[in-house]
Amino acid sequence: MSKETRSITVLTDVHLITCVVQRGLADTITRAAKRAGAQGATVFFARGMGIKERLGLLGVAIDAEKEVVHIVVSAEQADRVFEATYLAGKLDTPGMGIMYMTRLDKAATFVPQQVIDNLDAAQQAQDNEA
Amino acid sequence: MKPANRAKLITCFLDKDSAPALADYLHNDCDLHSIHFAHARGQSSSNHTAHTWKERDIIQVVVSRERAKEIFEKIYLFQELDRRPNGFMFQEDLMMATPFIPPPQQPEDPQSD
Repeated sequence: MSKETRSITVLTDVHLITCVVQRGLADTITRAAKRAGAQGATVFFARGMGIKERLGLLGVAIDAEKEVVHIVVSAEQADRVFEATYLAGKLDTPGMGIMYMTRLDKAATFVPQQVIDNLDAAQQAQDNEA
Repeated sequence: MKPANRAKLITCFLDKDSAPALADYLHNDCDLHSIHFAHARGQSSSNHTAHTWKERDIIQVVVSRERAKEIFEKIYLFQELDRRPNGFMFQEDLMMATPFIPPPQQPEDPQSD
């Protein structure tokens, strides 16, 4: 009987960008993020409440229905993706939404063996040069 | 308010309908109670067609620092992320978290039959 060894591939230096925007804007945000280099995004619906009473006629101008967009990016890409999504979502306009970025301890997903081998080979080459 | 010690938040983006099984596993086998899941849609580079949305589940677990590594690994293996592209997970630090204390079980009313 053979005992299979399972290993975990962990990614580090990753950031999470979260955008809370009006319903319907998530597609625009996601498209901009992908154009800026993000690999993907996850979106879910939410209901928001804030200073909407101050905006529009009796607050009805701002939709309380929100979309929350999660985008995980590498630390290298983080600023570029953040800026692209900020501009695409027109978050400099009052009432359009908010976004923030947090540093993640680590992330994990399925990484094909071929990709791991390529990374190992690249690392090996780098070590040999040094 | 009695804050718990510094905690970690583990978030997983999973295929549709995967979250209930994972929540059960964490609840029953790992004795965790601070679990929450929701439905979402996701787009990723692993999708065959670009700009195609897929239905997803998001599950979030608040776990103490001491157990974070263990729980992260258990979720990874339970979801078989080492074998196939079943989702994406990450862990972040929380500045403060309150413990979830389940309500005490009410004694059964003997006259309720």
